Amino acid sequence: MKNYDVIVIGGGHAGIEASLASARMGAETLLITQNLDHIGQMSCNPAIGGIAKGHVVREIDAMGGEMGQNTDASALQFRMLNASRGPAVWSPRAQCDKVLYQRRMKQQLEKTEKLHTHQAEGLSFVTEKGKIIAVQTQFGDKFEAKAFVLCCGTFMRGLMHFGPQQLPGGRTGDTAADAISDSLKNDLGLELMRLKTGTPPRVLAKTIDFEKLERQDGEFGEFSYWPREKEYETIDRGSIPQMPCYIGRTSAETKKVIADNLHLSPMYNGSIDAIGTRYCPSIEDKIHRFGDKESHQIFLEPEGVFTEEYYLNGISTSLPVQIQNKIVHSIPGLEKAEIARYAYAVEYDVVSPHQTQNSLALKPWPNLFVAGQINGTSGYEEAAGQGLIAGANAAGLVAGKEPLILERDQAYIGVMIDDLVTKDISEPYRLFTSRAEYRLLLRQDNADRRLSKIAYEYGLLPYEKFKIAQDKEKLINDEIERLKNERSHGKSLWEHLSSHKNTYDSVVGESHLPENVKEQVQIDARYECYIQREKQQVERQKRLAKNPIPEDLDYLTITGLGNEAKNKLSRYRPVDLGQAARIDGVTPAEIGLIQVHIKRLEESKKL
Amino acid sequence: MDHDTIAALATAPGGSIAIIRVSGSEALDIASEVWQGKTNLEENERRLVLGQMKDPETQEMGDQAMAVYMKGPQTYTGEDVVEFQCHGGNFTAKHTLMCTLKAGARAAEAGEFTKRAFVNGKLDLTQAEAVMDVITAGSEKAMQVAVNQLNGRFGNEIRAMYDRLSDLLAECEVRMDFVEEDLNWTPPEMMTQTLNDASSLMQTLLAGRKDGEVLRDGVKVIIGGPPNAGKSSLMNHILGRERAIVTDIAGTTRDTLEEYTRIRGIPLKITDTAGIREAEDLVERTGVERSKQALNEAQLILWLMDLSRPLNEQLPPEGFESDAPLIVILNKNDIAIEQELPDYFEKFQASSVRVSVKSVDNLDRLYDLIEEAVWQEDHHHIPDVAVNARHGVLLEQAVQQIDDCQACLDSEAWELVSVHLRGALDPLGEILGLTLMPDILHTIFGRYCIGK
Repeated sequence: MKNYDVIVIGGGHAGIEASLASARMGAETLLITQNLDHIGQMSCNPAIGGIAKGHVVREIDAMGGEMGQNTDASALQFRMLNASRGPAVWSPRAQCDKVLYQRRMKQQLEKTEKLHTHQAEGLSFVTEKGKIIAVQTQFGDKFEAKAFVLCCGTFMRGLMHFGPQQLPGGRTGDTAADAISDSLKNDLGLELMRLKTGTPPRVLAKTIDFEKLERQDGEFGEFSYWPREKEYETIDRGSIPQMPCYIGRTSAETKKVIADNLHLSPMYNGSIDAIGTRYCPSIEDKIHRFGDKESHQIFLEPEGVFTEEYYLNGISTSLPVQIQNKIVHSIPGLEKAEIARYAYAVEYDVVSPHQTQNSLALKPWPNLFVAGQINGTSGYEEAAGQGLIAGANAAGLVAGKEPLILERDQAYIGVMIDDLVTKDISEPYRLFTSRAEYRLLLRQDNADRRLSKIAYEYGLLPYEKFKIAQDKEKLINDEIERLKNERSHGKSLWEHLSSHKNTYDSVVGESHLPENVKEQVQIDARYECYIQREKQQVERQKRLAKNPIPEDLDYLTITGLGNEAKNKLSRYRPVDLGQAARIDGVTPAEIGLIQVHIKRLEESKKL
Repeated sequence: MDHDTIAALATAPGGSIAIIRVSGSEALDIASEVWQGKTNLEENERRLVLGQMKDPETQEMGDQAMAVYMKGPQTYTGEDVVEFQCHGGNFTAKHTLMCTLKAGARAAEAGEFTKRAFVNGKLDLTQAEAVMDVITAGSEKAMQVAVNQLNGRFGNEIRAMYDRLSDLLAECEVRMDFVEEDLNWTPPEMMTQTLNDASSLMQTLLAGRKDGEVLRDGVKVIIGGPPNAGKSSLMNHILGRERAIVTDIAGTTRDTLEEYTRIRGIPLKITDTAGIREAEDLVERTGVERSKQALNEAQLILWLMDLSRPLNEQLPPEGFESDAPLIVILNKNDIAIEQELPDYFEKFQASSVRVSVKSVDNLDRLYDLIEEAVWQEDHHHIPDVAVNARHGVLLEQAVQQIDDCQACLDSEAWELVSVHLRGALDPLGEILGLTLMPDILHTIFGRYCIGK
């Protein structure tokens, strides 16, 4: 049997970026997945990006990942959300043709050097002397490798709920992966927990009365910082028709239907124990919890050019299928709509994240990395961001490199992973801009400036792309320098530009510089004093982070620590005081106690 | 709670009764080893039980002692607590403490009971600080303020404002993170109202900072005047004892000397000065320099003059200036020559009083004036809460952030509103001993119908 450096299990959005990153770093990489035709499938909504998620897509792109370019190549509509607010919270989002997205992504993997795709189900890990050495498939193959990345999404002991009906499966049309879940528990001794998420019904276009809905068009824009690749010009923007979304509203009838049937929802009658999401609640949840609200928005999103299906964003539900029809028909515009696919909720196993390190390697199994929904996140973008880091670190481990860890002040991906390994998870984790303490530093427009050097140095980004980013950076800095020296009306142009009312064009006028350079100069000027402040805060945090916590520290012996802190700290084992301070339920006073305790330990060692 | 168990003397040494406090999960076990009562301590929770101390090593029975057991978390530290009341006296108290230590308790570090109360969430940081103030309160009024703070009055006001600003932050975050939701926004006027309320609360607290300092640290009072006008005698009288060297030879008081005392409940830190008039003697001159410096730092100046000599010759030195209230004391009332208060004092809006320090004449009137001068600004009553230096610095930071926040709110720059709100919540949280940001998402999901 062939030996690989890295084996990635799962071909979803995490597995894709993991296997690409690994192969691009030069590791012989095998991607195992149940169904090769389902690589990169959008199991839920047909869109990539959105608030904070769009930031992550750009970060992935800046680090040489594929999600951004693949979205650009299959986009039906692009929008910049929050464009009326400050640039720090602008967020790009694109509706995609689901099938096109999958097809291009599959071929992209197949064309990548050193990346081998293989259709099989990974059943169990084989260990030897406390180390994972191979993964076994249902065909009896034992694939050996030096590092592994597990990205099984919602498939581990996946259970779908259509009202009272329950069907095992990872998503409709795909079987669940139960064996690997058992292997994690029994062979590797890992602690698993149960989460839940849901997806709304899809309806057919010819049965929708679009006249009664509000049309929402896109604008021009794209995700990737890099020039388009030549061979994909055929399926480039222009050849894909742009499609609008539509907005509708639930009615008083909707409210009544749900109120009358609430007892049939598995979430309410107790047949689902897992915890759902607060930010993506089911329609029954919304109506139950916010009863005084008369009507809720529904977004109808096209699923693609080669299908008539529309995704009903806003009425995710686990009510029985007969009730789903009544709910859909109660919405003006959808009175006669035919449901092509029913809504359902899915419950699945995740690896409790306290077992995971910032590198995404498991603490007890340092050559096994985990990424995506298996870590308790939700969203294609969150999954892909983790996949990139996990794949890079798996290949990095094989090559003997220090792990690549993005800090909270470097990337949303860094914020997300740090949150995952320090915070208790009670629902699938989604990124928001409010989760980042350095929001003005971490913008969607400057991901290339933040991350391309890091990615290039780690071996993820090819030199040609890094050179593009470097040249842009030089133009930006030269222009800032020039504006600081040129004066008008007693102030430098730079100072004029920092005022909220001014724009680059109004202050500087005609310029030969590219738009993306002018934009950076203007945003830098506008946020300058705030960014200085954020950088000071970063420094302050780093001082705390400079206090490493000994790996074998026994929290039970620290006088004055409360029970909750003792338990949490022993469970999560933070690497430094900065991380300890971010653990829920640990108070600043307790951080002080730990600091004193560590100092005393050091003193006593010196004696 | 599984902190180790600590013990210490909880009363000041030298009293007739001593209390030894034992706190921690093993308090009751330790009690059973060092004390034997007529009835069971555990069954008589929160009741004083009579018994006898016993040495856990020799099993020798000792002095009589009352004991009380209080089960956590409804105790001062939040842990199980046993207290022993025994006869005062150095030996008995020490012996009782030694017994608890032999039975496995650890000697508590200074302030450790309070620290545990804080760590266990029984006190917020402002309350924990107040405990120290109560213990060291120099006056009844300072005590009253410290007790208010201990009852959480200051902390509660800050906490309420902290919560309102957190809600505002949640609203602001929702506007950025959930743009496509059709939510009911709080009108900007109401957000402005919250900012104004926060700002004015903090301004009020800051305005009370001076009073807080007065009560905590004492008013800095300078007694000045020409040599031999009776400064040292006055100071001795105020202190109620002999202190400064009093002679008839002018200039015998060589240095500034500080003393603490109270008048009408107001703590005073009094500095007696060397004669402020130019001195010939070099040794005395160093004292004079220091006196001038002390004058500049004073919060209240008592200028003492001798009525038996021409007042115009006893004025403060040239170039004397001060914003502090000035009380002119005309001493030696009994042997006075007829003369008016010099016009010089008009520009200082000084009040004056004729006294005789020697025959204790009219000194009550002097104390009235001192009291009026201390409380003259804004209030004539004791502040409810006192802001200490640490709070003051943090409140100033927060106020600045709130002002900047308003400007950003006006231009609807939510990302910057958020920066300033976080900037204000940070120091307020620090006052309360919370430095982690509140869980904004939790607030958001609790209040808004999110999710399309």
